[in-house]
Amino acid sequence: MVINVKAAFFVSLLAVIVTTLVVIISARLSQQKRKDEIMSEIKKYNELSRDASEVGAKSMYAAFQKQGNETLMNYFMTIYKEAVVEIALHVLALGILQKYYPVTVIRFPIHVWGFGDGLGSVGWYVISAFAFFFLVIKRLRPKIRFFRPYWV
Amino acid sequence: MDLIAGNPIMILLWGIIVGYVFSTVGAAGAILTFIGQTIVFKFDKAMIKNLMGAGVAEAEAKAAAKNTLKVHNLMAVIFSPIIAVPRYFKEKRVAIPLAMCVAAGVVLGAIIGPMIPMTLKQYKFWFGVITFFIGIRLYYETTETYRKGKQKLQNISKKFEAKVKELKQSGNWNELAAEGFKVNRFNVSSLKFTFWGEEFSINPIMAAVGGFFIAIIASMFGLGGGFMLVPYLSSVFVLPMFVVSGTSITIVLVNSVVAIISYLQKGAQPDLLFMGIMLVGIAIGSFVGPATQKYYKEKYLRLFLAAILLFYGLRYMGVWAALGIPI
Repeated sequence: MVINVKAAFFVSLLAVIVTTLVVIISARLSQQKRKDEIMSEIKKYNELSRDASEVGAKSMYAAFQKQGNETLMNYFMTIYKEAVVEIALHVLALGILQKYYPVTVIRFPIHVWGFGDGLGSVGWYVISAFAFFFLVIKRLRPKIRFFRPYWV
Repeated sequence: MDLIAGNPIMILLWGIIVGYVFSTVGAAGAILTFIGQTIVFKFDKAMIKNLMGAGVAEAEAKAAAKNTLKVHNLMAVIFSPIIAVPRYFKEKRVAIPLAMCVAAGVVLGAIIGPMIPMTLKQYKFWFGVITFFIGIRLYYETTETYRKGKQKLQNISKKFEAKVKELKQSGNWNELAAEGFKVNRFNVSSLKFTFWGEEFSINPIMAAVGGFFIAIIASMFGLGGGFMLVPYLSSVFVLPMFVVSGTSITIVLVNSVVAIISYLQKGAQPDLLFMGIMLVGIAIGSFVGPATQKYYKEKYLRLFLAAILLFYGLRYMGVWAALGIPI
């Protein structure tokens, strides 16, 4: 197994910078409060429709389920907003690597199914970003103010 | 930048429009992304030209372009499940037994869907049909009939809610959440499980069969399938929304991942730079949208979007070309 140390360093550095930036931005734009609000609204419609069902009000039951459905769509949209902020910069970084730095970071001694002869810069970026997030960011989150939403 | 199609500023601007509209109207995000790729930036044509220039046969180049468009669509869909599903699991909001039953069918469906032969032209035609019907639905949502109905529904809900409040105390959400799920009975014909304090009963085979057909249709068109799964779970199995939310998004993730792998194996070559720039735009637009919503009536944006979707729906279906209108 041969490791391209220079490429591994540059790609890991990019992953660390982008991951840190994403954590700071997503903490500022966190949708957690909005999601909690919508979820309690969904719960409310669910309880109301159950009550309507218990008293035999079929049309009322259908009406609450419909409103619950619409509220659920709002919930999905809120999740999408949150997710796109957390993912967009990573995809952009992966795109830059795919286009301008398509090097093999680790060359395997044998052909591995799904990877081929080696691990490229895109794959190495994903591993570095995950490792940095779970090993560093998660541990630092309680200590660093910028890594948390403003109300936490 | 060396992009297959379009220039980065235009792609960013289109992304902002998509994010703006999606966050304001709550629909048509994937369709606008598709319109951007095929009509604004002509991504498919540029890709076919690039591949043919590199010596790839025309039929193969067209198939690769079609599969790449589908992967781009699925990529736009998959981001929210990627972020949300681990959190849902952590918060015990996924009805795992139900998700596993549906996912069993979904995996098979998402493998078979991409195998069903469909040319780029046919794909665009059917996407046009979907676009056209969503346009009609959006138009309907701007009519007085719909708005009156919705208002009436809200008024009835408020009255009923007030009455219920008088009669009973509300349940404790957090205590129930801590319980998560528990399988009470599981065999081929029956699955009974307790989720957040309530018992549900479903037929696992029916769940898997439904998931199978939904996955075939969704993966054929490069969609997540959430728009079919939510009504399926809530109407056929009569499951409440708090069960449907976490479960359906988990199934969407399974379907999208399997379909993306299938399309990559069939020659799709996703352009991550193109998608990355567009996603940055979508992120900006989705936060700008709600902030500026108070300055105009949402109805007009909805009407405008409905007109755009109807127009492009007919264009994809080849109606304008058949009428000899050179659009």
